[in-house]
Amino acid sequence: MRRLLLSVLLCLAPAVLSAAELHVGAGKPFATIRTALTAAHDGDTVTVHGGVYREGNLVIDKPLMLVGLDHPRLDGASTDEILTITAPHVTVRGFDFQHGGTGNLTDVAGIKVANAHHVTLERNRITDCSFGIYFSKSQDGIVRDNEIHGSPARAESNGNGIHAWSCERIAIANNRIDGHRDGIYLEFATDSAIARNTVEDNLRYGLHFMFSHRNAYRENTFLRNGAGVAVMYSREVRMEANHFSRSWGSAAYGLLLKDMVDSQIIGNTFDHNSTAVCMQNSNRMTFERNAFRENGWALQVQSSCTDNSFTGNNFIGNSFDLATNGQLDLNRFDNNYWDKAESYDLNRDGTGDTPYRPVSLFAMLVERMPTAVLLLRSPLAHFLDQAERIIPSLTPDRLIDLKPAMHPHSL
Amino acid sequence: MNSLRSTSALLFAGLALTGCTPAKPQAIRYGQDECAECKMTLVNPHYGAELLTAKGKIFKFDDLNCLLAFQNKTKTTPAPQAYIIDCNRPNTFLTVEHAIFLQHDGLRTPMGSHLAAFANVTDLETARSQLGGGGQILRWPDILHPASAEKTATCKSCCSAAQQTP
Repeated sequence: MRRLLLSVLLCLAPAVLSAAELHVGAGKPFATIRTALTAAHDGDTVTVHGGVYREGNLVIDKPLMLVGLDHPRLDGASTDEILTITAPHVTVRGFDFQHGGTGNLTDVAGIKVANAHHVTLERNRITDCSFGIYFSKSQDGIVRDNEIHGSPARAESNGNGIHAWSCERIAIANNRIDGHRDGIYLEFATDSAIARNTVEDNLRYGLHFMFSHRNAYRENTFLRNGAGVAVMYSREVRMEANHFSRSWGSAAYGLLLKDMVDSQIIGNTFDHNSTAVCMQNSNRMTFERNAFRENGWALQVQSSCTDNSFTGNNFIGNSFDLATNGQLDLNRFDNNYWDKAESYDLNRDGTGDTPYRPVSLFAMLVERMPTAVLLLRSPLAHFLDQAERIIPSLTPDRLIDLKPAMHPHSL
Repeated sequence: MNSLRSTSALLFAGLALTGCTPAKPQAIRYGQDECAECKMTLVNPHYGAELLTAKGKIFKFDDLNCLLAFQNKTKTTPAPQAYIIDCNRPNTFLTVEHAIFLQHDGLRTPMGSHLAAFANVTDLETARSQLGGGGQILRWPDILHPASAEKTATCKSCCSAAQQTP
């Protein structure tokens, strides 16, 4: 048995030995990363020791590992794209990327991956780059445990933290992103997973999907992004257990859904947003077990939305639970908890004995005349709502939750 | 008394003048303004467009295909005047009839129209060389009626990024 094991090991040995390790740094065999990258062969590891490296644009065009010890700093001197990867099976770990250049019409990044598959970028810190990490026409990439800090002072030349364009199967996990235009932007990117990232204080969207199908994002935190999160023109997107918080402003939404189809929004928390969810032209969406707490509007659903279902959600402390510009009679509301529902439960089955109408008369008024919001919490608005609740006449008649929950669902 | 009369005359003149300011496009506040079609916040100063209706109403767009989609949907008469941002000059508007357009896959416009507008051929060629050459030069009628443009240029993805889905 031992002999067999030994022979297997001996067979493997050449494969292991052929991968060399090239050391870069002061007093090491290579003084610059560029010379080491040129000298390296496929499968080698280039180990860079701590220090500051100003080498302009570095290009990795063969499969290898680039590993930083003690976070060596790669400085782009505000002129260059710092690292460009054009080969498959490349791993870059443990670097500080600083001061990337800016493109005029082209997108310049701290790390760009172009036409390459199976590239892994992990435990890097990227500061003051136009785009942080940029995947273009690439597949099976992994981006994890990176910290990406943009410079809002760059204003218009500030790009996105992590950008994927025309990609498939990119995994983006455990990153922190702030100060960029959009935190994470997926454009024509499919079958990707975005998990456990913290995305805050970006100028526009925390997360932005355009024409990106069959993606999932879960357990991310989106905090104080200029306009919240926008998921648009996509289908089959699963959004689960995320936290959407503090998107304040007239054009800010916790989650903006536009032209979306067949997607699930499950177990998320929306709190302190001007509008928690704004839906336009979106169909066959499922909202289950989400918590809407203390938002201006919990839901703004436009009449162009049909066949959506809202089941088992909690609506607590929102100024308006639902606003719409139409009838919404092709959407279903079932067994949600509404703190504004003043129902009773005589048969003690846990659901209210009277249906609840989530659109208040005052919400309809404000929808037509936004300035009327001044009257929020005035006795007049309260009176109108009460009267409408007793004798519904103006609010959409078929927009009702027939079995509102009596107690908040435990989510 | 006289001074009162002249002051009120001035006031009236002032009011009358403000009422009659010729309609012109309004500067886009990047990072704040929202596209009237796709609702995205405008952020890229190379791109942007506006529609100005006969009544003086202004609609802002982040990309030319949003403007076209909006125009096709609303169809107001008389037709509103369309303006487009000069790609080289932030917040300088060109009337679409006077602009020349470069359609190039390397142009990463907000909604994927890949169209940028320029005031003259020199500007356009400079941008084109920055992108490594290629692309199509189009005029406004080519964009409005892509079918007729196909005879002169092979404009594949014109104004239809939304169809680029797999």
